[in-house]
Amino acid sequence: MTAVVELRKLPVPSTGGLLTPTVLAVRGDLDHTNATQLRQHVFAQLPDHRHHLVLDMTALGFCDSSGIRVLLTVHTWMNERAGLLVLVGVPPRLARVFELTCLDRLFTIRPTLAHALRESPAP
Amino acid sequence: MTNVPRHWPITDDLSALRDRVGSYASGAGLSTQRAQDLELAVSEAAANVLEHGGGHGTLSIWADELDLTVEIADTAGRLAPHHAYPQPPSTQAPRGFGLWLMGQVCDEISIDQQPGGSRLRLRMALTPAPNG
Repeated sequence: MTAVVELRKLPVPSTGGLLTPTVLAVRGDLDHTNATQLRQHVFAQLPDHRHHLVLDMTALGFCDSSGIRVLLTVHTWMNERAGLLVLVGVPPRLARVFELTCLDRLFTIRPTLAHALRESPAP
Repeated sequence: MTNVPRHWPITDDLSALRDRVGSYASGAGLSTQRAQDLELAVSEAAANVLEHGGGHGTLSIWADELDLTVEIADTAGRLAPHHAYPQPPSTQAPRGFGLWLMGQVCDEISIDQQPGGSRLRLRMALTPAPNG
């Protein structure tokens, strides 16, 4: 079995605001063999207007540099549209890679989905 | 005995390769975090073989009293000694990320280039120095 990574869209109660975020949960192992597939699946879920994306990484078992590149691509794409990518539930293993690469300073990271949804982003 | 040398082909099943290396490393006495670090380094090295190293290669792993060593041999031979320890990658052009990460998490990496292929070695000390 090659590495399997799945993406699931989670329902989000409407905040009544203009920018109810898209929430996607990533599950499995993300590596060189499936990073392109995951990137395509993420972008397939993104509307082309300004919005926010929350990626729930709680069930991500492994992530290599290909996976990091996907996150950087999505981060840049969101920024270019004045949106925001928020990462939640970052497992310790991935947190260590973020720390090594100083990406913990680039990405917006919140402990849990509830934390991310509680903050209402500026309209 | 987990410390006898093992050899595994490098295929696109990086997940199985990581599991094997992680088990071997734990069996040899590496801590959980350092075993996970080695899994990451091995995954990066094997991905490089698939992408740039001719698509085929062999991973060998062995341990002695002092060190756990992983050798990744490819068939392309494009990887050269000066590729070890690259500059930190930029977020704009994150190429070379894999080799840089290997240098961060392993105690030593070295590359031997021959006409028939390159061999990348990753070394993890089994008893790291304090604060090391």
